[in-house]
Amino acid sequence: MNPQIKTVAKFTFINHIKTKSFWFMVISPILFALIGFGVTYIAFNSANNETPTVAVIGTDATRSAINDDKSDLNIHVSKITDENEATKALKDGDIDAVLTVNDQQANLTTQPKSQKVDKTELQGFLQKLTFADRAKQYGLTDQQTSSLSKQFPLNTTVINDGKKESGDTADSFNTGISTAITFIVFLVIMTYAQILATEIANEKSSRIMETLLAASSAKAQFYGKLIGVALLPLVQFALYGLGFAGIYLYFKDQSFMKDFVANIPHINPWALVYTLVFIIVGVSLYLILAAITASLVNDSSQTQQAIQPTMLLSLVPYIIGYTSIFSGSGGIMTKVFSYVPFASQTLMPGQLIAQKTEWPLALLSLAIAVIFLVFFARFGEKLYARNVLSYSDENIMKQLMRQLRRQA
Amino acid sequence: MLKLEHVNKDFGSKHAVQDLDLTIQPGEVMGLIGQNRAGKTTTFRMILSFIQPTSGSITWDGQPITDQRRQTIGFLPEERGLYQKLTIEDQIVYMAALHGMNRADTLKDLKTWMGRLDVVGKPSDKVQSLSKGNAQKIQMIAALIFNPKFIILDEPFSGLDPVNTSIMMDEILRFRDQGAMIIFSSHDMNNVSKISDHLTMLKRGQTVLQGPVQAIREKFGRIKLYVEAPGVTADQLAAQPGVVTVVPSGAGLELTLANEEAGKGIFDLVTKHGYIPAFSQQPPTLDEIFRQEVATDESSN
Repeated sequence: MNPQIKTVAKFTFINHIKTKSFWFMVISPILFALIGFGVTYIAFNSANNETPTVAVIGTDATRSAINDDKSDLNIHVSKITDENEATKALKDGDIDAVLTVNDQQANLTTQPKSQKVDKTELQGFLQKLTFADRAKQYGLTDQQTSSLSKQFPLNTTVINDGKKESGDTADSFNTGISTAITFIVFLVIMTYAQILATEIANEKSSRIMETLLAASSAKAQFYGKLIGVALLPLVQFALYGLGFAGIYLYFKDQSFMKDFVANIPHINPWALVYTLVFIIVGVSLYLILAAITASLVNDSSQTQQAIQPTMLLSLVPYIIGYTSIFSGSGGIMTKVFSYVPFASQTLMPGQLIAQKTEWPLALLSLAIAVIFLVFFARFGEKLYARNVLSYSDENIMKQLMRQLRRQA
Repeated sequence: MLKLEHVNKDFGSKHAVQDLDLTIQPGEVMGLIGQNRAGKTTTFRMILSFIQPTSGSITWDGQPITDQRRQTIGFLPEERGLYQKLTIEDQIVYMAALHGMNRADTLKDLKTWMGRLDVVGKPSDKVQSLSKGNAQKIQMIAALIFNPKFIILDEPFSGLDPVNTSIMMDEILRFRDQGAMIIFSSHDMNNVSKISDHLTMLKRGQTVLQGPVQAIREKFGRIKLYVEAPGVTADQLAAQPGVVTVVPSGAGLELTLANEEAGKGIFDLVTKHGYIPAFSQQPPTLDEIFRQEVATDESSN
């Protein structure tokens, strides 16, 4: 590598990695996840701390069935059996709910300060109770009743690299992977394109760019900065990888970890390598775009304006990615955009891992992206060299469109 | 040797630099002077390959200036720019590394440089904590620490007090004596005349004056005369043939003559009664020449 590119890359990388803001950015997803988990845990537990007291107004059989220890309902049945008395007790806050049950329906009345009653659980219980009562009325035996309520089994299996795996688990895992790729790529682009654009905009607006370009070429500055910034997410995710590896090694003999690992469907390791390479290629495209637009600013107050094209473009694969995940299949948009640079890094790897596409097509998509990257980098280098020392009052988007038209 | 031959630079219909010829030898200081928008900074940018000339050639020892050669150029831009949040040493180490200097040598030399330029501060201080003058010195160090063979300084003395200006001038002369080629621009003609071996004056992109400083001055003739002659009045001097103006100046009088020969008559008059403390007949100062050229331009418009 050109020594000056290396110097610029090293300077850019070290300047960022030694800042508190970078480390906060690395730690913050973990912190937020822990806080979210902690808050959810506390909220869930405090919500379930106290068992609600419910007055059951209905037949003795219904009341005793609900009150039975085997019902597993998380409620305490009040001794009140009179509806008016129950209503008064509810208003006074002595009980949490009044459940009125007859043959046709049940009504659950609560008040805002009541402890929460799990309605789904209660409804499920009443459904079973009513079903059993009606079966008896129709003269069915217990065995006949049980066979009626049994769910017809449907087993799903996926053949993955010659091995059979549970279809449900495979579907969940593929959805998870696709979601993760979509989200991670979007997050990396948003974060690091902003960092690169801010760096270039600050150097241009503080007029240090002339000094830098007297000492090194525009090419060295362009590629050096790209490489320096691109190394940052690699460090970030390497740290996460080390963290997960550490957690696995520490807990590997625990049953929950063994169960978890056993349930992970088989993934071709080459698919993971492919995913990583493709993400690097895709993110590089966005970083180049950010560098081009940042070179058009006059001062650092225009940085947000400069980063807009990158942000807007990155939304396209993000939206298509999420749409295809939740629609459960790759529509025509997903199939087409899996070959379009700027979008393919988000869409194709998920398709390959889920085995919705073949390796030759996946490699074709990657090859298209790599070739495009080479040409886009050269194009970006020329625009950067032209713009980085010129200052214009024209709107950044107009300048960019004019430059693109000129190059075309 | 740096050579600019028939260099032109147009921006649309505007001729920023017209037919510029300029040569700088090793161990020489070239002063590039001119009003604002005369083409000085454009000339520097073309030498540094920030922009390409519309026509003409710029060569160093007969060859175009390559990226490798550019690494040996020290440049101080007119618009000062440093990384405000970096320490002095981090800044200088980076700039020096871009010029091929290693960290250990840079840190060692930095201390020497900071002492020599009398920078108030420590290498570990952040640039944003420095005064304007000290920040400027740091930028000068960044431009010179790697011992460049060719130095371009765009307004190096702007914003500096007389003491710091003198320190900067000493450094420029030190590099000249070591054989570096130096070109600098300044609006302070006094400084230009003190350290320049050669001068080029640009006016709206055109070269109006060029050559050794003293030769340029002599070209205008020794028409400036300073005299301290007790007993001779300003009116008496003004009445002498060839005297254009008489202006009090300190303890004496400053005369502007129509021609050099008028000086002889003045000398005879003031020395009529014997000894006088001061008589000096000189060509106009660069400052006076500059103002005259500007005035000529304005009157022709």
